[in-house]
Amino acid sequence: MTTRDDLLVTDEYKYGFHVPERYEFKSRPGLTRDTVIEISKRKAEPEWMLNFRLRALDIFHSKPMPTWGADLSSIEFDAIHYYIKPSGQKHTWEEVPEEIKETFDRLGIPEAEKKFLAGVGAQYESEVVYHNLKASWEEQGVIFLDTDSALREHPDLFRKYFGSVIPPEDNKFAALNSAVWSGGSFIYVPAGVHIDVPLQAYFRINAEAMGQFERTLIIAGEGSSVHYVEGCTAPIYSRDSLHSAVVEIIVQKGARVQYTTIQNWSSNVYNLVTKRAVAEEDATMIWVDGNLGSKTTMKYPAVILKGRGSRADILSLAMAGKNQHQDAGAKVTHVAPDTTSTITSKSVSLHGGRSSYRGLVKIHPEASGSRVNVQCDALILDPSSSSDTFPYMEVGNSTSYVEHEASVSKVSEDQLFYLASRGIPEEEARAMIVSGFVESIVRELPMEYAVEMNRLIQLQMEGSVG
Amino acid sequence: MTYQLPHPANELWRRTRPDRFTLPHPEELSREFTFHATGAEVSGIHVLPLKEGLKFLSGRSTGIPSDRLSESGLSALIHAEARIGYVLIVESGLSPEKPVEISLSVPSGQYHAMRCVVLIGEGSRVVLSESLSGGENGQLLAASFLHLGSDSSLTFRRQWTPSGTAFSVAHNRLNSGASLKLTTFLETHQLFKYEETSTLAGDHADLDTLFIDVVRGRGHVDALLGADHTSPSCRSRIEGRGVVYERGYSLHHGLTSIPRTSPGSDTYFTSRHLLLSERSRADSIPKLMIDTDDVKAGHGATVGSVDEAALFYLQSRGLTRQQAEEFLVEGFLAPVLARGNYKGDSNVA
Repeated sequence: MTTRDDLLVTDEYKYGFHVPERYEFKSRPGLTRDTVIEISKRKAEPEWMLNFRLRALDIFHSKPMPTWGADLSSIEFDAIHYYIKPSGQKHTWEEVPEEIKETFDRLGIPEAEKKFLAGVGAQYESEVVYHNLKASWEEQGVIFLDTDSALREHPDLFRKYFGSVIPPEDNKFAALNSAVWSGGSFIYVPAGVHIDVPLQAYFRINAEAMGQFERTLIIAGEGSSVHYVEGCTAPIYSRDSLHSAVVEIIVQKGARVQYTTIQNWSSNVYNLVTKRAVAEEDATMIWVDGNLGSKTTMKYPAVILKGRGSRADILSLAMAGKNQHQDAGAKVTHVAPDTTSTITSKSVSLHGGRSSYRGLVKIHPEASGSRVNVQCDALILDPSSSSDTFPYMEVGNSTSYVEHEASVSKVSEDQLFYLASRGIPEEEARAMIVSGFVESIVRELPMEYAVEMNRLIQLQMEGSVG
Repeated sequence: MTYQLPHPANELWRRTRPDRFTLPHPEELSREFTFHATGAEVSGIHVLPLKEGLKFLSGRSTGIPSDRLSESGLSALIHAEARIGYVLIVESGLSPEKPVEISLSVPSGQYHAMRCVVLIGEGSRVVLSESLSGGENGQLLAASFLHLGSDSSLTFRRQWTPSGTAFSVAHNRLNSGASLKLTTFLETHQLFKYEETSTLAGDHADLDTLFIDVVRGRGHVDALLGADHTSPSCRSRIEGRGVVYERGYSLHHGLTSIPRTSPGSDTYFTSRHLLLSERSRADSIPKLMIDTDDVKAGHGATVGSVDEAALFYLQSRGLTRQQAEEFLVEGFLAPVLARGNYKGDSNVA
């Protein structure tokens, strides 16, 4: 008989449920020119976008699969549905299984958000159905739309920036996304506008073997600021699912953008994402990237520091459980003088999982006076788990300074002993130590996410003793 | 036998184009070299020319395991065709008072393939130094193999200042309780590709290796410094320090692996570079691959220039900028040069 504890034992994906699919259109599995033309036609896109997609498709077919990083050999490109248009019909809270509601309760998720997480409140699959933007921002000229609507409603602005940071030629999966993208967020913040409440969007994959290829584009005008928060959950299915997003961000002179991702895909999802920002003079770009779920993640948020005095902060958190490989990290390219970057990476491996930090810091000869600090720490919680670090540092001038520090360790027996002496059981003590280990990243999250993250860690840690 | 240069896509050859090396025909290899050894006049220590030495060892493994090589035809050529080099054997239980000192020199303008084999018997404690120079306008291919028997100890100072292009592959094997303290000092204005891997093959083996490169002109140093902890409870400390002048380039590529079968491992890799000209460059790639939780592992890397404030201070005391810079470089290398006892041997020290 299944008990509540069985359901919550770690490695079983906590949100592993799905509600029956309801969609208006679902493309046939497999990727051909016809699929791409069909997607573009259904969305009534301009011709330039169709041509862009078709060019990207050719690039996708011409590029080999990456031979480095995680094992991607079992992705079945021909079994994936590349486009699903959901119907507007909502599911109801009553359809959500009891144990899932219970898990939400244990995570302490607020009532409205529970419905959101369960997919009964807001947006679904490829099509962004719901966005909430305060009227006051609209008055200031802020645009916050799903990417498809942005293409329709702001064609000139869209065309100017789309694909300008990550062209389809960048890598095989950026090409794939460029060919079949659907949904995602488009944000434009005019010069001097500060959005003081984080903008949020949830994404869900809800159809078997469906790829989710959202495309996000953020443009922060001169002196503006915005914080965008993206959270992901996905249900378990037997066949592997593919999530391959592209996120492009343009941070203009003196602007500040923070992009926070809490990624918690189910354990059958390949999560292969290309994220890159370009920072102009005195601009600041902050990536906060939490990778908790998926089968395989390959994600290296990147910043090109193009303007003098620009700055990048990248905080990356990875937790690799059973059968998971989190290959995550960061890339910073210093092109302009007096640029600064910091990379902080924390990874936790447990139950046989593998976490890899892969990072690149490149300082061009012209980027004189640049400063870089990289800190990557890994915690391995049992003898069957693994951790790798693959940092690349390339320094092209003598006036820059780069420092890098990394450590790999296990939970210290001394800490466990001390906490045991204070009456704290080992499992709880381990969860506390892990929470402390990742604290420097969790504290950068909005409060409700930080609370959720700590509870997720506690849930992940269950069953980690004995 | 035909040999092939490594494939340019090989991860270990990404930053040095393989075609910068030539694969000479074995007939083209020089048989000339100057060899001088002192301190080996002790019973139980044998220093022999390569051919004689290999014959003496008759069948003992003195090669680098094939999985340690970067799929390099260069390594295979050295192992099969080298005509010059030496074999040093220290029998078990010896602790000679004096260091063994070996100096090697190769003539200019030719292809050279050299092998050096050092075998230290169980429980022996040895201090060894080796210097190599020459080879102007030529290409030196070298392979060295160190084997340390159980509970032995070797302090090895190696100073290489070849005037031509060089490729060197080195493998160190430490049995249980063995301790290797290896310091390699390299100074070049040419291309130098260096691959050193150590296998900690017995429990409680202790590796302490320090690699110093001084790169001048358009010199290019590509150094792989690797350690495989194949036994439990071993310790490794690997440090690279590079000083890069003019349009030079230096890469320190660390590669440490700790498999599941090696709990209790303790490893740290450090790479420090000092860049002394606007056009000098340095890369650092400290990789760690760890498959067990019972481990202490880390790495640290810095790349920077001399401290402007310190330069200013020294200039205010009457030194020229160049003198002040050399002073600070000496400071950067002083602790490591003292350890290697290289005083007076280099332009830098």
